[in-house]
Amino acid sequence: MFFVLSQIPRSEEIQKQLTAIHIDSWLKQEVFIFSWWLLIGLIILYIFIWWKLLDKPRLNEILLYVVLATIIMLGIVEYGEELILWDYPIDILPIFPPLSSISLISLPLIYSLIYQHFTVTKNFLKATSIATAIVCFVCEPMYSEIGLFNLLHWKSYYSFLLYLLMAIIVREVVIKIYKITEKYSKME
Amino acid sequence: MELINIPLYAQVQWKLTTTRFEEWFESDLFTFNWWTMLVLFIICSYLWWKLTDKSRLKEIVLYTGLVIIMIIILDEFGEELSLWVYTTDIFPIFPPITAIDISCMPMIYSLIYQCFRTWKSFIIATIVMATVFCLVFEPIFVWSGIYIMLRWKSYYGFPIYISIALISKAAVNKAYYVSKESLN
Repeated sequence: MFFVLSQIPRSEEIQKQLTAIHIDSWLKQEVFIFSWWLLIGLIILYIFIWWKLLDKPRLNEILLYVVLATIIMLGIVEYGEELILWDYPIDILPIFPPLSSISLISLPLIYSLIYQHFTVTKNFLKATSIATAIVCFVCEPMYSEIGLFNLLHWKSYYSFLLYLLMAIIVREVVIKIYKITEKYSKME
Repeated sequence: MELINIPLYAQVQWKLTTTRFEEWFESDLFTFNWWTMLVLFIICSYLWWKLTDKSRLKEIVLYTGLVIIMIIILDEFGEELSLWVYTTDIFPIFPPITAIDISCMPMIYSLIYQCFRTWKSFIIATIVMATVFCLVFEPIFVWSGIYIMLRWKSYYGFPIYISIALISKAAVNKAYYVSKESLN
């Protein structure tokens, strides 16, 4: 077989440089310091509380909400990182830094519990707005204070709109998926 | 963009992002490979929707979603560790290769999950799929110049492709089991 030898893009050199910087600063300034442990503690706490408050018989449905929200959040946090809109100074792992960001872990869990609890659309919207306001104007400034989050070219109220939109869209999609499933199950 | 007062790695990140955009405009956008990616994305998404058993949609989407999360994370790991690199993408920001990561591979995983319901047949089908990925698809992508392996061999991916399927199926089974058990 003939293989065309493609030219390696020049961005590859910069990628190597960036990963080296991430690993270097992680080893020198991040790993095992207080904030690093705090981040792990917070993540475990979020998962623990989620599991405790979870309505177990609806796990399959709530988990679908979490999974879809996580995919969108993966996109959001990585876009923000690549466009240097914000930054998560402490990483559990130096590779793919947004993966261990507090936003990525906490938001899908928080919104999925709201989804579980508020089945009426109006109530869901109210609860989601309040939760999003708390996340953007209380929690995130607090994360900044303890060094887990930095806004670079971004404002908290942009996040407010973005998160709110995400929470609503994911809910609509999950409801739609359940409706379609039910409709086709009856047809059989 | 103002680059003073921001950390060094964010400055390097910005350089990386702008370089990727430049390369994308110069030698990527509207090329044959770029259109191929776009067409693949649309065809695979469409096929997925057409072929999916709608009466099992909630379960299949959960499985596919888990697969997508794992694929995206692993692909981003490989890219950041310079194990491989893609020369073409529909859009130069995340995920590393959009069409394959969130459309083509999830479609194939999803259909196998749907068709092979017993563990035994599922495992056999998954092994066949991983073999085809490693021996057919990856060489085609390398040959077309879209995919370059820097410090990677096709067969390294073999157990990873299989693990993604097994872990996702086990997770979905577990979730449905817990849901059912807690009702009693």
